[in-house]
Amino acid sequence: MTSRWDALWPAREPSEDFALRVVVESVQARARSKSRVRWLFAAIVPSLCLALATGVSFRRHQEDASKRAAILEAQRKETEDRLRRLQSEFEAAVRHERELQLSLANANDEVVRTKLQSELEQQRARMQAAGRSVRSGAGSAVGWVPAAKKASKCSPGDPLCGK
Amino acid sequence: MVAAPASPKACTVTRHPEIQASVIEQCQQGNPAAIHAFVQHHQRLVFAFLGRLLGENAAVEDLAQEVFVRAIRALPRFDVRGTARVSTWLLTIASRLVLDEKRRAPQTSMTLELGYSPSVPSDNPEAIRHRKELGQALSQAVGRLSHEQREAFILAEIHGLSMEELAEITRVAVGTAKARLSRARERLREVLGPLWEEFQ
Repeated sequence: MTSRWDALWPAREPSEDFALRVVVESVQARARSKSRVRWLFAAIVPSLCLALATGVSFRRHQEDASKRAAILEAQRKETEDRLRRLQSEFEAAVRHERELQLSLANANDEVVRTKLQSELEQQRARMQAAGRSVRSGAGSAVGWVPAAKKASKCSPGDPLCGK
Repeated sequence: MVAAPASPKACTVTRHPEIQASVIEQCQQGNPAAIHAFVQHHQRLVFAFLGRLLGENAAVEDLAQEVFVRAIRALPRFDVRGTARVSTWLLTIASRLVLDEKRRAPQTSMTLELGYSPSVPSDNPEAIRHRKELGQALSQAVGRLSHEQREAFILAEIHGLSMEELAEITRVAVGTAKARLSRARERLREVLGPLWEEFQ
């Protein structure tokens, strides 16, 4: 640009090697930019991989935790059910013992009394076993199955039966 | 015989000639020789703008270098076949860079001085003295304008940009650009007094 303004108000002239310095600076700037992009890439890719691995691991951990929680909840419900059943069986046994005691108190026949006495002792033994199980809590109650009432092999009135 | 001082036609504006599109295309491909030619073609334009806007004491050369580095980086996105002129685009980059610099290190006042002796074709000492006085008075008066008014005056009056180009470079409406230029002229008329008439 050569206007007459330049004659009146001259502007600063660029140095002779200005264009050359700009070319060198541009080339260097481009190289720096490429290098920066490479470094950025080198920093970002491992960070992304790490973040992804952490995310997957965290998700798996969450899933495992929820599965474990579900299993524990099911076990807790099962234990509670079993405990309720044992308590109800124990209460039935207590009622039965009371009935036997009442019958024993009212019985006049010696044979009947002996039989009732024997039955009462067996009932007490069963109750003690059941009571221990119930009192020891849900943990020890797990897996406990009340003994089925065995069919008596004794002949009626046998005084040695059940001892 | 005393040579006539700057006549009413003394400040006619010759617009910067545009560079060939093929050179820009080569620059876009990163050809260093083309980049060199590009910088050589436009360096006086950028220096003239920055030097007059900021004064000769400012880091004009550093800023000019930054203008070209940014331009070369952005050149691949420049539409050679479009309507935009490369010279206007470079002045836009320079203007925004100056604004960034001003925001970073604001200056309250500025003194523009003639850093170089005016190149006067005539050997007449009276004409030389008169032109020098005129140039100094003008540069000092322009230095007293606000940054926006100074920029508008330099771009429109010295670089011969249209109001639309001025508005685009300074990112204002055309009306605002016109108002800035008008206020700059008014202020210069006040400051320069009878000397102002010699520029008109």
